[in-house]
Amino acid sequence: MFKEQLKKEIDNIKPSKQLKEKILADINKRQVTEKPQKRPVNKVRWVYSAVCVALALFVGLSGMAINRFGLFSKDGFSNNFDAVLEDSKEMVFDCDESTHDDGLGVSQSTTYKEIYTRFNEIYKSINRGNSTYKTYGDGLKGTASATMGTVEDSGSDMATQNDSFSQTNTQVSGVDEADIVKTDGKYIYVLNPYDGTVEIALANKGQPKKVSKVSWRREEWSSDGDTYSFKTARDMFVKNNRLVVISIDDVKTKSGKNNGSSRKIVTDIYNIESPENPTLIKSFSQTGQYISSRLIENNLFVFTTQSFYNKPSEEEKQTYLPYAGEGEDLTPIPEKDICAFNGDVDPSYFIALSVDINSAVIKDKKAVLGAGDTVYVNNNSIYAAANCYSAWYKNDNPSENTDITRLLKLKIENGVLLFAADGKVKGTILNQFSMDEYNGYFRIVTTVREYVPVSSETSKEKSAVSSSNSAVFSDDRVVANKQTNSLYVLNSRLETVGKLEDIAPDERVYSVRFNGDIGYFVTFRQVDPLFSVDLSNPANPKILSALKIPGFSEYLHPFGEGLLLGIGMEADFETGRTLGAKLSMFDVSDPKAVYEKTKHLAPCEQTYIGAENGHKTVMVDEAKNIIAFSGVDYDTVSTKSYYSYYVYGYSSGEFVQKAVLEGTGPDTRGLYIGDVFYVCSNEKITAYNINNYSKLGSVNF
Amino acid sequence: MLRESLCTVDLPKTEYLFNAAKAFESYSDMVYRLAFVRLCNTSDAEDVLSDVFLRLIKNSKKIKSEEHLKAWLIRATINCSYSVLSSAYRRHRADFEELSKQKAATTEESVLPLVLELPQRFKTVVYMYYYEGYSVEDIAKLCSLPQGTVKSRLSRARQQLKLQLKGEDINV
Repeated sequence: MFKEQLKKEIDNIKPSKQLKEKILADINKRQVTEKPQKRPVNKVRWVYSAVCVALALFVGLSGMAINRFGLFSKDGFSNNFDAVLEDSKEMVFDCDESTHDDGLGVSQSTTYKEIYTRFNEIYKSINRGNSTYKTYGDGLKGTASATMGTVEDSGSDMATQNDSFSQTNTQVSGVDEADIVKTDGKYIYVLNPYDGTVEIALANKGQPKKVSKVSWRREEWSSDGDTYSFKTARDMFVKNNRLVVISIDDVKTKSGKNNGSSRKIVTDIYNIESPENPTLIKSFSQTGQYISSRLIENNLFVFTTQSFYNKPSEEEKQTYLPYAGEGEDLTPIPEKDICAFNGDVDPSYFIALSVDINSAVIKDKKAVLGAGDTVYVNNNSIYAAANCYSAWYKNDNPSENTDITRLLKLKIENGVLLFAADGKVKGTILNQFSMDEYNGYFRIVTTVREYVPVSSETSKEKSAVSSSNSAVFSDDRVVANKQTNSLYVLNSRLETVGKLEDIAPDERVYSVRFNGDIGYFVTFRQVDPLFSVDLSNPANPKILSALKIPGFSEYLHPFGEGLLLGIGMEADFETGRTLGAKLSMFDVSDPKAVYEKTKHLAPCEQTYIGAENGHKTVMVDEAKNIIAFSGVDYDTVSTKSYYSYYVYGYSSGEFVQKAVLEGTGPDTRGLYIGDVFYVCSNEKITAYNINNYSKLGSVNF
Repeated sequence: MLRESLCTVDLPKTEYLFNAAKAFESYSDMVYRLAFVRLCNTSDAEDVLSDVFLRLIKNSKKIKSEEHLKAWLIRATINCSYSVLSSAYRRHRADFEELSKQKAATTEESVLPLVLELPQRFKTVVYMYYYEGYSVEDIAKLCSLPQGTVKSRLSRARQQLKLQLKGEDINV
């Protein structure tokens, strides 16, 4: 009673929009006049963040009237969100034939001039501060690229290894994800993001030995003292005698040239046929912030996002176009490879660069204005999702005032990317595991928040008793009054064909995993319902069961026949208070009656599974019966943290703790080669016997 | 008084990409509400909101995770509101204007005015426990207080509220 009443009343306390706008303008002003400091990497992020804030605010509050923008669409837009949602499936690209439909009136190519005009429009609408914008636009306009890259022969085969070895835990088999520790079965490669080095060590059957070190850290001032550049590493791949390092190259200028800072993502490809002496083959660069990357056979995909916030100038292409290219030679992405979402988009691009790592040539580059920052990639397609928060927008139709996720699909053909489809669903996603494609259907789980503006009578009454400038009862406040979860099934043209809505009110999604026709997801507030959903009929997804147990799983992993492993937190049934890390094994052999077969409380307070890219800290191998993850324990007295790498097995229905190995920080990874288990971090590699976890050897970096 | 070191939680440094836009979108309301509950005054709460986010931008490199961000913001809000409370202006002036406004705007069953009239040290724990849904342990960490203190503050706050609410049970 008391709690609900208090909640209701405190919900009504909100800062006014004007105030929010003012604060952000202030932040923006400050960051422009700020001098470069000692640690430029953070500084750049800082500037970027502030810019993001400003953009989000301006874009959101002022509302860009670009949905009527004629160049990209002939069709007018309905002001009714609902109508847009239902009727706007104008398919521009046909994913099956990769040709576009002339009947929709977008047969002409996008040109730089069109893009420029559009950016100028965005800029003007931001500065006018008008708020005529009412609806989310829709429809992806541009042209499908038909350039087919030549298929390169992959000449070198990897040296055959007798010992089996583990690889980075990925979402889709066959699609490798970059990480800070990699192995090829003989050597272990460890990336140190801060130092900008890759240490290469010979695994040597438990007696690891340093072999060589690749270093590219650069931190320098230009001769006139105006420009400061700084390069740090981020991610790495190892495959077919190639070492791929993705790093961040920041350049800052004191004089404010080039907006004061610029960031590009550099992909260096090294030849490691002789790991003692790695040689750089080629470098590729693209502008923007790093999102993620994937490696499918020899095709490397690097994804970035780039935002523009200054006045565009038609002559200076860098003020409104993304760049990519080889080495230092960056060129604007060709007109034919750029397309744009219509309607209300942030002035930011999703940029995808495709490179063949064997021949070290660029196969394709694409940019999409207004596309997302979370990617799901399988062997045939790339999906990019953009969370669009609606609290910032004023909508006349409150019942439809929810956050949405805008989706883009690119088709992969021999490393060449083809614009395939676009779509949208209600709600926002958690991470890449929220998305999946199976048998031609795309499935997505979202958390939907509904914002309801308070009716004008109530707010008038209230503003009568409060002062006119009161932030508490401002007229145009929007209240998020409802939070539910949804699952959508979309066809290959990203049209919604089936949906489940209003699942688990007031909870949010903590983890998702799809396994063929069955989807699992966990929501949480106090107890953890594990939902299993039957997706065999795409038009009619059905909840098969909802298992309520205390705690929640932050990561789900199919484990053998009829079992699902969950790693997460245990929580008090009554209060929802978390009690430490938990392993759960769910019996899913009958999806209608899923139950928790066994659980185990790990002696650590926190795992890193919930963090971004947290699934890479986990190693699950059924054949070797290993479930391993890194975790941390706090000593509340000395406030010290103890990092460990926990190794478990699962046998005869119970979790068995095999070992708790010494870890050196959050970025600890485990891997095995043959009969040796290695715990790797950028400080050291320690080798253990996989049978009894006795220490064999170690090497420090 | 201005301690910002509270968040000693160690989380991955490389994995979390700080995004001030998202931070502001997600937490501006929370910061404002907490400030309002502590200060009972819209203009002071507005000052604190602006202060906290400027500090966040300055300290963005310290933010290591979403949880850390939220904890940091709560801590910074508490700190910033301390400096408002201890300002000479505030110390020499009694401000019941906002409170009476609150009262006028509310109905019979309203409980917020009662909460706002609680002593400062009780208000914060009540807000964090009942509104943000933090556990006693979490509140203790966030406010650098022993758990027992948090518990006793909660229970005393409940006693006071119970009197005002004429015996209605507020245990949740």
